Amino acid sequence: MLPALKPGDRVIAIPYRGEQLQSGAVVVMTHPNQVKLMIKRLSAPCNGGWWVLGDNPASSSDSRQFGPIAATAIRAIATAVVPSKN
Amino acid sequence: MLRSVAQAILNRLPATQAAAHCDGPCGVYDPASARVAAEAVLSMTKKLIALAPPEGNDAAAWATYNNTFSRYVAVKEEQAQETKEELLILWTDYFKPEHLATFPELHDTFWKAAKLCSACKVNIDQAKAEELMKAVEKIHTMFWSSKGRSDAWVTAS
Repeated sequence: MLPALKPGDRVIAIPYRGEQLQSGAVVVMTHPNQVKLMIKRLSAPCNGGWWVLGDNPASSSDSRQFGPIAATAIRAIATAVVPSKN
Repeated sequence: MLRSVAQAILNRLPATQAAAHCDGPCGVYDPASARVAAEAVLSMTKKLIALAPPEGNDAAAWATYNNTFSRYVAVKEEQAQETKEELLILWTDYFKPEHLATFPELHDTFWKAAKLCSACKVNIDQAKAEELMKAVEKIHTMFWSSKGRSDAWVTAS
């Protein structure tokens, strides 16, 4: 997610409870094929879900590989970043 | 001051980790890790073929043989699995749909390479291990070509 986020940055995120989402929002989401949380940016609504992309397209694994995500995969919406010390 | 206070508070709060990448950070992909693991598979296969059981009924000699045999098999198993995992990361995370236009055989190559990893686990088969090395070499060539490079295929052994 460089340059917006770098490894070790802390993100303050509010739980997602189904409210209206906007393209450009950074969300914490479950990976469609793996048991892990991911952080990505909403690109555009897609088939009732969202197309998500990383900010660093050359390096990111995102909807270009795993397709659109369901809205239910979204766990939280990032509201602020606390940069890491390094 | 404010920053250190905020940091102190945050350090006390439980935070869940969210990854920006599915595997390595910042797109550091390299088929070399698959190559090293595949080389280990070939090496262990050769060592297993060369390992002769002791003659007679000397318990200590048999214990040594069984121990060495088991270790070789364990390492072969583990390295074949690692080869498969490294290949799957390249296949599913590095290669993107647009690469299929340049490498139409991409899916078939990875699928067959992953099958060879399994074959190397199931058998002690030098031909399969060598075939796996050829498959990893083909993936190496596709990978670097997709980056506009032509890095030479170099093996450790």
